[in-house]
Amino acid sequence: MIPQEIHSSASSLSAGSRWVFWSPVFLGLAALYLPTYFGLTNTVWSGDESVHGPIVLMIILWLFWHKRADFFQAQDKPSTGSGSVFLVVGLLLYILGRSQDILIFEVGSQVPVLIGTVLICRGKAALKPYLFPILFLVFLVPLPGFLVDALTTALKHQVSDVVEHTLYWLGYPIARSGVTLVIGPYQLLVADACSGINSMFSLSAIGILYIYLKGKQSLLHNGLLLASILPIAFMANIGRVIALTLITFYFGDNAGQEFVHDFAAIAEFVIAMLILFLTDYVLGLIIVRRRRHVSS
Amino acid sequence: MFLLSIRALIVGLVMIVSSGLAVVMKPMDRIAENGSKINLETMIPMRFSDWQIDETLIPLEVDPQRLAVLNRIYNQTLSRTYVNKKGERVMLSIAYSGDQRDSMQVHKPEVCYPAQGFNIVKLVVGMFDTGFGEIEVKRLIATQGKRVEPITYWITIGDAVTVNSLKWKLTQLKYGLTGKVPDGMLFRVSSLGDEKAAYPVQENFTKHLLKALSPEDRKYLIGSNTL
Repeated sequence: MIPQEIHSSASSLSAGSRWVFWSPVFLGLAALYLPTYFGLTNTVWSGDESVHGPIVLMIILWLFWHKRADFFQAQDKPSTGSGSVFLVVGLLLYILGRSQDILIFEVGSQVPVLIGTVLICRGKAALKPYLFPILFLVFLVPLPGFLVDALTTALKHQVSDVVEHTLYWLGYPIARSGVTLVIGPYQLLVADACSGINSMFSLSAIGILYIYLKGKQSLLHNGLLLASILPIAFMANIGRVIALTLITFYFGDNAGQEFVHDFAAIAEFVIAMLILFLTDYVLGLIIVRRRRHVSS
Repeated sequence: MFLLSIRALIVGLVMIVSSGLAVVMKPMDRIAENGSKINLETMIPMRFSDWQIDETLIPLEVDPQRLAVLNRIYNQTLSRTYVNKKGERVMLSIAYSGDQRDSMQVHKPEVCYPAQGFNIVKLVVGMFDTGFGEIEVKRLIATQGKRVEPITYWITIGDAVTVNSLKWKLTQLKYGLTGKVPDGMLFRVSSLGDEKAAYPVQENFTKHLLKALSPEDRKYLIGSNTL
């Protein structure tokens, strides 16, 4: 057992000695997860569809930095017991995941490992400001292949179906066979990237971050906003596919490809974010008005 | 005051030991490199029973978009069409990989057909009599316009046959925990036309093909743990 007095001064350390205090943990984390991130950059993060990974990582690092004052000022009261459970479970997940190529375990293990580390070295009070950034690490976990395949296929069909019906209703000469759309003389394949599964994942991450950063709002407000993220992402993706289909229809096959394709993806993201902000604003108006009603 | 906390030291040390353990436990022993080398082109006969290669019909090729990924995944692929004396045609497609890891999962017909504009109208898991025991297979029907293509396929991993991706992962884990890297194969037969007519033809074709192989080669296609 570790004598209490040895770590008692952790919260009163100066900035320089904090680095010394935490250096063994940093070394340990580097040994565990530098190979993981190196592997991710070469595989999952190398595709165009998954630029969100590095961005989420940057955001998490920033959140850790941003909340450091709260973390260091927190009361020192290590929970060795529960902390050890988290750490051991996390490290076992890591060993299994890393050695057997199970990315969910390897990347996901960061959550229990970090929770355990903070609990052992500092305690519950210090964990509080870091709980959100640690849990946010979940968005770095690549979805398992079989899940992505199933979701992609289902979403692609939904997207093609909705696009076909919308454009048909608007009077365009459109027909569909599976995930192939025929509009006028052009045949368009709704590719995997058009399923919107990646944008749904990224938008969920950004949406949750937005709700967290905005802070104190009613549970109802935040709950409704949270629930609106996925429908917004779905609609934004439909909008993108419709836009690309129409661009092809009016400007030819080449126009709908390459640059426009990339640009549409960025536009989709921005538009989805704007709709989310708007939803937040409208929710704010409605909920505040209802409150006034109740109080008056 | 103590600058270095014993707690932080212990935690850091345990982490470094864990990262080392993960490296030591990584399976390195590729089963594919221990046995005899596999060559699909010569292993699958051009002619057997009353079946022979038909050059007029080319099986669905891989989506060009995915080709780059596939080359990384598969070590060997084989696509052929066979015809028998009655004029029945069967398209055969085999993909073999010596190293099947999570990131290198084989691409399944239910993913690769829709990617090329096919509709999957039916997908069932069923048993398939190979003539050397029953195995679990997936049967699906892909359609595109007027083309109706019933498909039967299965996946092997090491000695086992499975079409369930979780069971597949668990088999891989079973090998992995003993330090071995299993090889695997995706075996797919399909034909054009009505499912009632197509599946018996596919079964007949597959049985005769397996019968024509040496026991050693057959093991690659249907595993050795066949029921």
